[in-house]
Amino acid sequence: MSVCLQNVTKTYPLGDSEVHALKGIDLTIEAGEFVTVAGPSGCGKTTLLNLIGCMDVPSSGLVKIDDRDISSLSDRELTRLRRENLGFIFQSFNLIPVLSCEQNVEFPLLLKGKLSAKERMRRVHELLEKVGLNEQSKQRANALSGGQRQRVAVARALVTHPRIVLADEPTANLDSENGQKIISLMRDINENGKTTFIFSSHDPSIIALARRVIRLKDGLIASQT
Amino acid sequence: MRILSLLRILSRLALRDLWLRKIKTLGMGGILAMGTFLIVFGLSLLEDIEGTMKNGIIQSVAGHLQLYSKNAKDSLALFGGGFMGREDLAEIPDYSKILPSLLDHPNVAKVIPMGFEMALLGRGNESDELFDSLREALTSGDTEEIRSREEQVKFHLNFLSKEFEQGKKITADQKLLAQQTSWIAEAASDRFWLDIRLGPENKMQFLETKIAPLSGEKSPVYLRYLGTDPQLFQNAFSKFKIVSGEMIPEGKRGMLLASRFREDFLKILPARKFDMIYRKKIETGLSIATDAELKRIQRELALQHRPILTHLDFYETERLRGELVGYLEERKEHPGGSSDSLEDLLKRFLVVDDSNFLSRYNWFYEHIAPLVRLYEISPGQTIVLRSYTKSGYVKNVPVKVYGTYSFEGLERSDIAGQFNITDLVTFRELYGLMTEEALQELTDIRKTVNTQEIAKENIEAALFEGEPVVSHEPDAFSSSTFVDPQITAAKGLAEDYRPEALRQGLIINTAIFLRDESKLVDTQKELEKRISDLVPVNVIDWKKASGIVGQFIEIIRYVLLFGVSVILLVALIIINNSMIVATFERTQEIGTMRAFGAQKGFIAGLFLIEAFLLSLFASGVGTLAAWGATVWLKSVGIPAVHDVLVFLFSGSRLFPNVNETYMIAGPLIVVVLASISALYPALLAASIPPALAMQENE
Amino acid sequence: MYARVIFVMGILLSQALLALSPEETAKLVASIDENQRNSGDYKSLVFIEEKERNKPTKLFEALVYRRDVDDKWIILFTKPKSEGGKGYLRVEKNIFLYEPALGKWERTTERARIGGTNSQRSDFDESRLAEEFNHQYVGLEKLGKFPVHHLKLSVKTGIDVAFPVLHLWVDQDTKNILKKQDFSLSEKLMRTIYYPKWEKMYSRSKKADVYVPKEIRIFDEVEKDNSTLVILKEVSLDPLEANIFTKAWIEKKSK
Repeated sequence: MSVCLQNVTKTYPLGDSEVHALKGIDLTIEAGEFVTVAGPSGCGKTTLLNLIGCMDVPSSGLVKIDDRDISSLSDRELTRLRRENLGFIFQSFNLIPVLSCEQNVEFPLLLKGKLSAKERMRRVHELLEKVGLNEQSKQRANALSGGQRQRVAVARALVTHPRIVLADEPTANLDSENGQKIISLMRDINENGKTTFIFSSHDPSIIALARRVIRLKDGLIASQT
Repeated sequence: MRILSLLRILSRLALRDLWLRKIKTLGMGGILAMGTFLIVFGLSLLEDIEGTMKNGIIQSVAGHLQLYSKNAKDSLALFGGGFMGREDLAEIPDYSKILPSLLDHPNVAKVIPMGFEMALLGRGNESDELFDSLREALTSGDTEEIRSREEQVKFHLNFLSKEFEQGKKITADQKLLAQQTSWIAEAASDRFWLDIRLGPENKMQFLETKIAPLSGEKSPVYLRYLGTDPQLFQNAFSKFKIVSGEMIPEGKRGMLLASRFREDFLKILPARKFDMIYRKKIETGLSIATDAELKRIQRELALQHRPILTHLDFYETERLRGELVGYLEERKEHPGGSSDSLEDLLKRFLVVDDSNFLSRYNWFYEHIAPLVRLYEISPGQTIVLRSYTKSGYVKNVPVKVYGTYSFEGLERSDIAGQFNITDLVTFRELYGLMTEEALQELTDIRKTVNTQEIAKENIEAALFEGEPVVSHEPDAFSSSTFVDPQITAAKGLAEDYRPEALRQGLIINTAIFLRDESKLVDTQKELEKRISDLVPVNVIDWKKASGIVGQFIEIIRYVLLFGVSVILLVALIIINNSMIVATFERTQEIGTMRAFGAQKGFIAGLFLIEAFLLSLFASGVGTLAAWGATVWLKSVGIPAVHDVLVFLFSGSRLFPNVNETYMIAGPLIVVVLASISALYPALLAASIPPALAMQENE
Repeated sequence: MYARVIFVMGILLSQALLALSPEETAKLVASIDENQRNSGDYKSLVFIEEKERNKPTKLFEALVYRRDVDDKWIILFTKPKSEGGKGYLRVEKNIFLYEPALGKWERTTERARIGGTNSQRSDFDESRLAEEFNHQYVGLEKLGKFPVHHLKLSVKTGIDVAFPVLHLWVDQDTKNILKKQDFSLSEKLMRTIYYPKWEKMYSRSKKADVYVPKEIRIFDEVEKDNSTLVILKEVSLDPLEANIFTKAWIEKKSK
């Protein structure tokens, strides 16, 4: 699954004025890439990820996922697109606090439907195993440490076998060791499967782990490898 | 299938969420449960009460419908509303004109003629009663009877003289007291009684005019009575039952006293006070020491030795004194010597407190009550009713009391127990509508006297312009030629009457029983139209006829519904509010769900299901509680602690029934309302964009 | 309502006999009392018509017997039929009612009997006008074609009477009261009474001529629609039988 952005801009209203978060982005990400979007905070990283994650539409320009213009899709269709193809990892993990690790991981599968409970559990535990949290599967999400939580979040993002996983500053709330571990985990998965990983970061040690780095500055691509 | 599994997820999430916010859930759930409880329990209880009350009203005196003249100035209120006043209901002049037409209606089962009025029950004081008996004995000439009456009067005089002796200390007018004391002394002297049989009139007049007033005056008792066809009444009203004595025999004039009325007005005071304390203390559970009202009755009881002494069969005084000494000594409450008078002993006996009340109460009814005349009027006695008739004249009508009655289940109700039953013949006599004949007689009298009608405006001219005002007796020195005219004493009403009399002549209203109650409204209209062709009448249903108490239930219903509405409104506002707050608190969570592909409908559903589950559960609990309460109350009964309740319950206890309709409708209403109140927060939550998941909230 | 009848009797008898000296008001008033006290037995056949607001007009014919020395009287109804034979016997403060249909007596006190009507104690008691009232000559007036003395009487302090102020219009010629008005303390007019017809009779007990009223018209000035007309058809001042004021006598008479 490829992502293609052509001259994308995004403007947010802010009071009476406007914020130009993205000012003309052209970008292509091929399936299976392991990309980091780097840059200082406020450079438009999150906005870019939102657009790629089909959670928002551009003010102008084109965002194409597998050659489909997301601006032409309805909210329902975008939601379905996310559900079927995308996985998300957030800076503050965004686990549903009332649910256990297992249930949090299961949640996207539930939304997706189709699978039997048994199959769901098999997949959940497969992933929890992979992130090394099988032991804690019954624990409430908010009883875990930050690193553990983010690993649960990784498991959740992957459980539906998405083609693209988007991670917004996944290590920002973690110490460097845990941060390193999460990125390694993601990289392992990327290497063993076909999942595209796009994550944002401003931490050089994390950025160093990416195979491709896209640097943003003031809503424009400053450089990319 | 997908919808089902979605619902499953939603429910699971909603339940978890409710569980997480336990306090809030409990609070909202509690209010909803209470609202449901009130709807289910309150409304079904009300329906039960309405049922019992309706049965009580219909089966005691109202029937399904009541018919009365359209000329009535007041509206018919069988159980009051007009209070003690005399309602003007006009009259239906001839019952026989409307009866066939009433019975002709296919839905009319029974018709019972009626009329309500008030009369004054004449009664003298204790002295008057004693002197009357003595006078009767003297007239009859029965030596034994005269001696017995004499002794009773002497005993009474002795008692009076003691009382006046004590009165010396407190009376201001010592001169009057001395005079009265001397009268008593004279009446009690042997000289007075020596030749009483020879010239009784002067002696009797002395007793009746000088002594009798010393016993004080009794306040008159107003007696409300219902004139009807007694046999028909007995057959038609299933709650009617004879308590003591017998039914008024067919074709005989007579009266049945309402048992409650007799207890309340015709029982001797100490017994009434004992009863009042018993009811408050033993049945309601109040304490003499702490309840001010009870304390007041207790103090009044302590002063009631006199009625016991005056109503006591005087041959029994010594026996009672002995027994009372025994009773008080046994309880070590007898510090005085055994030579104490009965009066002193009674005074001591009547001072009750919380610990000795029950013992005193029982002893009173076991040992004292059988020796005294407990009631002023008992079956077999003939009483005199005085009425101020419609013709303006006063009428005194004797009527024999055959028994006492009450309405099943309403024995203790003062509302239902205040009218006494008599036959229509007696009723009509007391009602005393002016007849054509009587009117003619008045015209004739006026003619013989040759009165001049003079208006007040020109009276002085009319009176003082003509003839000289003074006339002279022709022969001033001769004896008067004035001879007393012959007096024809008015005849009393015979004791018997022809049974047909009950089906013709004047009545005030009728009770009508229907064959099919469900056609009540139609039959009511049809009868009103049908009878009004003959005589203009109103036909009203039992509820309206019962007066203010019948409408009481409606008032309670409105109050209850208002209360429920307020509670539900509060609950819904709280639900609405807390869910709106929750959407803001859960913005990121909702965004995350949206990011992972939850549709808007899913988010809205989450909130709706939360409200649905909460209200379902809460109303379930409320319904269950209402069911439990009803089942429990059905086994023990709800005590009627107030007279109004006795009437409403149509008995001393109400046994409520489980009402399935309200058990379904109650929770349904609550769930629907709760879901509606969650609608706005649900839509609000659904509109949260997924991008908000990414927003950091620090 | 019987109370009203009784009240009428009171009026009738207390004002019955007037023999007076003309101009001196005090003397005039005193003589009212004086003549009252000296009267002997009295008997009359009276007709009474009572009109009351919203009630049917009532008519009675009754025999009245009175013996003032003993403070006793009897009212025995003769007409209409429904009232025939009903009797009231007054002895001291008691009034006994006889109901012939029952053959029974009932005792009530004056106070109880009169309570709630416009009858007053003064209607029954001996006339003590001179003793209880201060008097004042208002003037010479004309009532119809009759010249009358108008007197105003107000109660002396410390004395309790029903009507503290009275106005009397006394016929100059015969010295009979022709009109009387009763006032309350605040001088509100309560009732107006007319005595349009008098008869001069010889009293054996007094051994002198006396005047007796033959017609009395009473108007309630508070309940404006209430009025009473009394016509004395026959009057006798002859001594009555000695034992007449007893229950037995009435029972016998009312058979």
